[in-house]
Amino acid sequence: MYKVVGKGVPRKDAILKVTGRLKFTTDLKLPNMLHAKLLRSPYAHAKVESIDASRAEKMSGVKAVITFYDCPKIKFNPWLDAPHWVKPRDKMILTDHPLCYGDAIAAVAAIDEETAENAIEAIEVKYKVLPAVFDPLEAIKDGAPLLHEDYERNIAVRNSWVKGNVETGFREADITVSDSFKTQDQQHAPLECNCTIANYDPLLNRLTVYTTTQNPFPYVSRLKFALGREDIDVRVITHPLGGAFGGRHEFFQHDGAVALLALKTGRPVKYWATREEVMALNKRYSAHVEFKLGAKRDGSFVALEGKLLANAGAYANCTFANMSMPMDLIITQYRIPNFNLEAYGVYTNTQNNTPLRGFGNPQVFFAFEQLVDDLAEKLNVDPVELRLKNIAKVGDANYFSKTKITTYGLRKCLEVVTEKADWERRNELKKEEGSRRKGLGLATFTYITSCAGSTEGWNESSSAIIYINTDGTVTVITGACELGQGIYTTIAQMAAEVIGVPYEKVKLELKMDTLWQPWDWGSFASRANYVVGSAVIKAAEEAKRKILKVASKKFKVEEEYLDIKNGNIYDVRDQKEYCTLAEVAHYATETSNEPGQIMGAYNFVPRENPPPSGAQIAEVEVDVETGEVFVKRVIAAHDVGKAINPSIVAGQIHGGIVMGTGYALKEKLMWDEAGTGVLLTRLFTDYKIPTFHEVPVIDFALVETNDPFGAFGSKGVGEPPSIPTAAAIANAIYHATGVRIKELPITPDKVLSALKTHVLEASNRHKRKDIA
Amino acid sequence: MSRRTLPPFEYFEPGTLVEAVSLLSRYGEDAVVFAGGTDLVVFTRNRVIAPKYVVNISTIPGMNYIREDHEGLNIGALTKIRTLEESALIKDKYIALWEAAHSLGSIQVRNMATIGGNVCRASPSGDMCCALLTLDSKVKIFGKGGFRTIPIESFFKGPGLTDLEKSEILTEISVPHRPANEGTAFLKIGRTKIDLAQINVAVAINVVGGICKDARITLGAVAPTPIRAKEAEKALIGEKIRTGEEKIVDRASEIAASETKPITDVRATAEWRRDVSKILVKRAIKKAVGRVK
Amino acid sequence: MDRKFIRIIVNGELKEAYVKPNQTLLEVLRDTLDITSVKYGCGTGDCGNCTVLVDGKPVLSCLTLATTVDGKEILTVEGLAKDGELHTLQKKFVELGAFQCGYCTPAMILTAKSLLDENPNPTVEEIKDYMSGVLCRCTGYVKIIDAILAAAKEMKR
Repeated sequence: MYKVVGKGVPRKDAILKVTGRLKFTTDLKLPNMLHAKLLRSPYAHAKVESIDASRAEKMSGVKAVITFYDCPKIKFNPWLDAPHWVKPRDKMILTDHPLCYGDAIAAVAAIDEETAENAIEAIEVKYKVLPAVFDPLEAIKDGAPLLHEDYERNIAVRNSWVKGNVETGFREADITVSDSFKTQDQQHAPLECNCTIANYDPLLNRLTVYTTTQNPFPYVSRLKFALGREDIDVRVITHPLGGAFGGRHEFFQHDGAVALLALKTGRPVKYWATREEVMALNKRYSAHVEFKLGAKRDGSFVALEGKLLANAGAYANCTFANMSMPMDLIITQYRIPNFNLEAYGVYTNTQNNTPLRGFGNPQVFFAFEQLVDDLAEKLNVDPVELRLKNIAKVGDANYFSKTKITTYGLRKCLEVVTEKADWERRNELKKEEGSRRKGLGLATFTYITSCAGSTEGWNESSSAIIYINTDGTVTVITGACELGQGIYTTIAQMAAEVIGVPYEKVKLELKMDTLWQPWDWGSFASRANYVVGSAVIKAAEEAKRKILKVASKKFKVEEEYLDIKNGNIYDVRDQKEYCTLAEVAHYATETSNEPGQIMGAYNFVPRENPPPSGAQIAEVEVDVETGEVFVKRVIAAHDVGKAINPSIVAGQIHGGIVMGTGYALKEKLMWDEAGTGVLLTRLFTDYKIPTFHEVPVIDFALVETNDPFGAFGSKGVGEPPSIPTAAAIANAIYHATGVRIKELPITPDKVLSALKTHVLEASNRHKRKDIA
Repeated sequence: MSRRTLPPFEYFEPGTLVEAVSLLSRYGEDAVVFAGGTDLVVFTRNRVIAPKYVVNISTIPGMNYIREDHEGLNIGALTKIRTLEESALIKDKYIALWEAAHSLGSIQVRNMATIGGNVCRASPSGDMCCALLTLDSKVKIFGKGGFRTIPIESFFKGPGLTDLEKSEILTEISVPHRPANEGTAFLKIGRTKIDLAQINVAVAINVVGGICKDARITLGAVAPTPIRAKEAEKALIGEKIRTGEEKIVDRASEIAASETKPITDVRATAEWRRDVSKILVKRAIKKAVGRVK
Repeated sequence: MDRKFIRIIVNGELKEAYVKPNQTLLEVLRDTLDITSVKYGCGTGDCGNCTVLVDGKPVLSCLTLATTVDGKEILTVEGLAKDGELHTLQKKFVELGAFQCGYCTPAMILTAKSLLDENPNPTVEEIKDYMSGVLCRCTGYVKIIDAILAAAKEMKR
C-alpha cells in the first residue's frame, strides 16, 4: 500500500553514526573555551554555614567562581513541558541548603578540566550536616526532617480519583484481594553524559547554548526564568543525543551555572558531567504501591482502592504528572465502576525524580498486574480470561486524555502472545530441571501518545515546514529532537510518502536549533512521531497541493487527475508522466505569474490521544538454590497503531524490554542511609545495566490498529516496551516457584529468602495437616 | 567529588627489575607499580590513591611468558589475562585457572590486565587469586635482597594487602603439576557475567579408587581475602566420593559456608553469600570430581 | 619525565604528540588528535565505549596511559571505511539498523571487527562473550548481534 512508510529504510543519521563522524554535544569544542565543574554536596541533607572560594579564585587558570551567593535567588520547577504544571517551584541553580547528594552549591570555569577540578577541591565549605530521610514512608512521619518550608509532612503534591462508591462496591464483591508492593529508584544511565556549553556575546546580548536536552524550546524559557533575565536572546542548539529515556527532560542546575559562568567570563563554557554526576542527577521515583481489588465471582471488577507513595526526591519536578498518569491508565485499561485512588509525591533527600521510560507506569503496573494474577488464581480462572473480562473497549473513557479510546489493540495483543507462548499449556511445561524452575508470566499495559488532553490549557503543539527544492529534493524543517529514537528518519518517510518522492530525496538538518526551527515541545511521552509527524504530513499535503496546482496550470490538466510517484508528476488516468518534481519546482521559482518557492507549513495541535497497549509474556528460569532469575524469552505483542519504520520499532521493542529486565532484576540506586547519605551506586561497577549476556530471546509481533488520529495511524512506541516487563517477570517467577516477589529489583537474595519462607510455610501447613 | 582527569605524577619506564626496585625504594609510599593499569588508573582517577611516582614495569623484558617445566607451570607476572585465556596448555591442563581467566571482566579488560596485577591487587573477589590459591601456587618476588618465593597463601594479608614490601615486585607465579587423578573447577557468580564476583569458588579434588585423597576448596568475596575452607577439605579427605555422593559433598559444602565471613555490600547481602557459598562449593566439587580421569 | 614524545600510527597515519604522563589515550585521541568517535562513558572501564584497537586488540582507552602506546598501531572507527566504501560491518549496522543513539556504535563496530578477525564464524554465544564489555542502553543488543552475524556471513564469501 505505502511506498516508504512501513518500510525499514536505513536511518538518515546512519552513515554519520557508523563512521563516528556524528558530533555529539560532548564532542564539541569552541575556540577560547573554558571548562566548568560544579561543587556538589557530599551530604544528603545539610546547611552550608560558610564558603571560602578565595583559594580557587586565585588559582592560575581559573577564570570565574560562583557560589549560591552569586546566583539569582529564583526558585524554578525544572520540568520542561506543560507550563501550567511547573509547580511547585522549589529548585535553585545553586543552593546553600543541599537537599540531596549532588545538589549544586558552587561552580567554576577554568582553562582546562584539570584546573577546574582542582579549583573545586580548593573551595572550602563548612557544612552543618542535617538528618536525612530516604523513604517516603519515613518522610511523611511526624518529626521527619522537613525539606521545603510550607510542605507539611514533605508532601509535595497529591491527587485522587473517585468514582461511584467503593464501600458499596466491596460489599458487592464476592472476592477481594489486596497487597502492597515496593519499587526502586532507577537511573536512565544513557551512555553520553549530560553536557552543556554556553557562549555569551555581550554585544548582541545573545546566549548560545549547546546542550543535551530533550526539549530545546522550553529550555529557552526555563533558562531565562531561572537567570531572571527575560532580556537575553537565547539560542539553543541540540545535537542528536547519546540516549535520553526521559533523563534530559529537565532544566538542570548545571544549565543555569554554565550560563552564569558564560555571562561572567564572556567566553564559551563547557560542562561535561562525569558518570558519577549523572548517576546522582535524577531518577525514576521509587514507590510504595497498595491496591485492594474486589470482583464478582464471574470475574468482573467492582471496586478498587489504591494508594501510591512516590519518592519525589529533593525537588518535585514532574511528580504530579508521573504519579497521576499511571492511575489514569489503570482505570482506563480496566473497567472498574467504583474506585478510590490516592497518590502522594513525597520529598526525600534523594535526587529528584524525572520521567524515565514509561513515566510511573512500570511502578504501578508492576503492582496491579501481579494483583490481577493473584485474583485470577483465587477465582480459579485464567489470568488472560480475567483480563479480557475487564479490559476497556474502543469508545470507553480515556481518563488520561479526557477523551475516548480511539483504537485499542490490547485484546489482539493478548491473543497473539498467548498463542506464541502456548499459554494454554503452560502448566504442562516441564518445570523442573535440576535446581532450575521454569515459569511463564504475563502482564499488560496501556500507555499514551503525547500528553494530549491531559493538561487543561496546554496545546502541546509541534510545527513543520516543507520546502520543495528546485533539484527535486524536499526539505523538512521541524523542531524535533533526536534522542536516538529515529525521529528524523520517520518524519522523512512520512514526507516522502505524502509527496510521492523517494525517501532518499528528503533532506533534514540532523540537529535542533531554536534560532530558525519552528516550535516543538520536545521528545517525551512518545509524542514525536504523532505530533511532529502529523505536522509534517499536513505541511507536506499543502506543499503537494501547491505542486499539483502549478503542474496543472503548466500542463493544462485538471489537478484532480494529477499525482506524484517517485518524484514524477503523472496523470492517474493513463500513467502519462509530465515532468519531474524538480522541473515543477524550478518552474515555480523562475516563471513570472508563478508563486515562487513551493512550501507547506502546519501547526499541529494534538487533541486525541491514541493509546498504545500491549502484552508481554516472560519465560523465566529460577535457580532455586541461588535465587538467580534468568529471563530466557520474552514474547511481546504491541499495538503500535502503524509501524512507520518496522526496523526502528523493533529496536524500541528490544531496547525497551532489555531495559525492563534491568529494572526488574538488577538496577537500584542506593544511598548510605546510615551514614552521610552519599550515593553508593555512582558507577557502572556498582549499578548494573544489562549487557549482551542478559538479553533474552525476544519474540514479538506488531498489532497495527491504524488509529485514525495517529500519523499514518501510528501510536507511541518508544516507552511502552519497558512498561510491563517487570510485572511479567514477577508473574513468571510465581508460576515457576510459587513465590510472589513484591519488591523490585528481584535480586537473588529476595528470591532465596522468599523461597525459604515459602518452604517453611508449606512444611508448617503440612505439619498442621498431620496434627489435624 | 568525581573527576575525569588523573592527577599529575612523575612517570618512569625502567628497563630492568633492578632499576624498578631502585625507583620504588627511593620513592617509597609515594610510588606505585603500573602493569596493565585496569585497577591502578581507576583508583587514581577516583583519588583512592594519588601516587606521585608511577613506575611502569610493563616494558621490562622477560616477564611475559607461560612455560612448563618438570615442576609445573610458570607464568610471568606481566602475562595478560587474555594470553592465559588463549593458552591451549592452560585450558588443557589447568582448567580451573583457565575458567578464572575466562570469567574475568571483558575482552578489553583481559587484553590489558595482567595476572600479576590481579594477584597484587589482592581483592577478596580476585578471580585469578581464587584459582591460584586452590592450585597451591607460589609467587616469586624480586626486591632489594634479590628473589624470594612464598606460597600464595602467605601472600594475601587482607583486602588489598599483600606480603610485598613497598620496593618489591612480583615477577612470576608458579603452579605445581597437577596429579593425574585430580579434577579442578572454578565457578563464579555475579550480578552480570562481566561483574566482579559476588562469590567465586575454586576446587581441586584428588580421587583414587573412589576415595578423596586430597581436596582444596577456595572461596572468594566472602572474607577479607580469598580463603581456603580447610575444615571442609578435611571433611572430604578420606571419604568415598564419586559423582553422586550427595551427602558427603553436601556436608562439606555446608562446612565451607560456615567458614566464610561475608559482608553486605552493594553487590550482595552477607546472608545470601553464606547461603550460596554452600551451593557454589557443592557445584564446583561435583564438576571437579566429574573431571577426574 | 615531564612529557613523553610518542609516535603512533592512527588509522594508518603517523601521528606524533608530546603527552603528559597523566594523560590517557582517550584524552590524547579526542583532545589532541580530534578523533572524537572514541567516547567517554564512565572512566572506570565498565562501559567499553572508549574501546580502540591497539595493535589489533580491543582495549579501553580511558584506562590506557598515552605514554604506553608509543610505537603502536591504533585503529578507530574512522579508519574502517576505505576509498569511500564502508566496512562490511558498518554496512550491516546501517542495513539492519543496529544502532539508535549511536554513542556506543564506534566501540561496538571496532570490537566486532576484532572478533571477526579472530573468529570469522562466531556463534551467538561467542558474540555475546566477546562483545559483552561494551554497554548499550538503547538497542537491547539484538540487532547488533544480527549485524555481526550478517557481516560474518558476507565476509566469508
